[in-house]
Amino acid sequence: MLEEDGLATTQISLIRIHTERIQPPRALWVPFELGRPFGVPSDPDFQKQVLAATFALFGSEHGPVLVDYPEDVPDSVSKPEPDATGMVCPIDLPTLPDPDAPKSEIGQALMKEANSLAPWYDLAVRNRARTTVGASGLSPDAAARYLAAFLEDQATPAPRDDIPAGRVLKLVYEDLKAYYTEAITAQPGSATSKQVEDWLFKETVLGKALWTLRDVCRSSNDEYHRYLGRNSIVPDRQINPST
Amino acid sequence: MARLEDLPLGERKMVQELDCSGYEGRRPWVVGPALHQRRVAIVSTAALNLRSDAVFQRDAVDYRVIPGDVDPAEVVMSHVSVNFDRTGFQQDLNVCFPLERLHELADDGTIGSVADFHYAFSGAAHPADLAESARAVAKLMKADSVDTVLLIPV
Repeated sequence: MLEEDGLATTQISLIRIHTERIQPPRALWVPFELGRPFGVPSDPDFQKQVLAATFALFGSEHGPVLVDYPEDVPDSVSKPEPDATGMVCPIDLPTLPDPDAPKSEIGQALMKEANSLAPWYDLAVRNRARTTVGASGLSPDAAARYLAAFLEDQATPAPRDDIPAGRVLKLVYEDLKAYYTEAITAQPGSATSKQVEDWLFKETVLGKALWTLRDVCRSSNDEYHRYLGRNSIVPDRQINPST
Repeated sequence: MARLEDLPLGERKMVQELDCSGYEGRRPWVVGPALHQRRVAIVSTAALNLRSDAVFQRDAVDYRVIPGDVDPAEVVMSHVSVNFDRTGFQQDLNVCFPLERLHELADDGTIGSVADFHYAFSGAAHPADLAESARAVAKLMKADSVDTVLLIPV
């Protein structure tokens, strides 16, 4: 469409079959994981090579052009250490509530856990000079309080009224996920995105709260909550780990 | 990792069945100037917005403007999907929105210049529903003397 309006385009392709079907003028398919179209964070040389390959498609005289990028990310980025069984968080996080624990207990443990990660989150913000937490407009503490309250009582008023309550809920738990993952990745050592995700959903109270939230939303009378519960709380690879 | 066989079953099925119609027979082809003369803008579907912006709503078909001199600390993400990695974005905006890399390429003369404004959509909507916004963005980019667009999914 942009090209029809006179603008030359080139693009990254992450899902090759979509690009094959749509046939845009120029596309570079990259084998990187979804969410990382330029491959490796904090690696300007790697990113620039991908960018150069994307611009190199302007050298073709006719199209559509679909070229595969020949290089994958280094194993150190995409694969766990050979002897790694998971991430080890050096902080003593609260014990996970029993599976049948009342939702109020999950909420209390969540508040305590979020607070215990604050030093690592603060370090991450200092090191990166930025944070991605904050789309909800709430502080991490306020976000945890709202999620805890919602789990206990779904009629809890959303902390802002300028957007639908379900959208507030989504932004709140995405902010909490970002808070946790920014904190854990500030700690020494490296971890793949899958290890970070496994840690969050299997070893933290927040993970437990999100699984519970998924159940709550799936059985909700609210259409927006059911929409969230279908596929917008827990990643598909956590729900179907063997596929 | 973005290979089809690496995706979980549910996501793979969704990807395989996604409607990609509407582009049959459309083969526009704009050549543009030499690379070192191009003025480049980014269009991302990562649902990026500034902290001061309204967040993207469910099934959003509108867009947000990301200034070319934006402080990365001002950029957040309000995408609805949980099925892509966000830890890379948390560590480095450039892994999904390579604005600093573009500026470096402009500084060393590889490209001509970087647009004053860039654009973000939420990639959850069908492309056909984004047509009106895309046309509006095309006009804005031309007013910014842009001749080349880098399209980036997430």
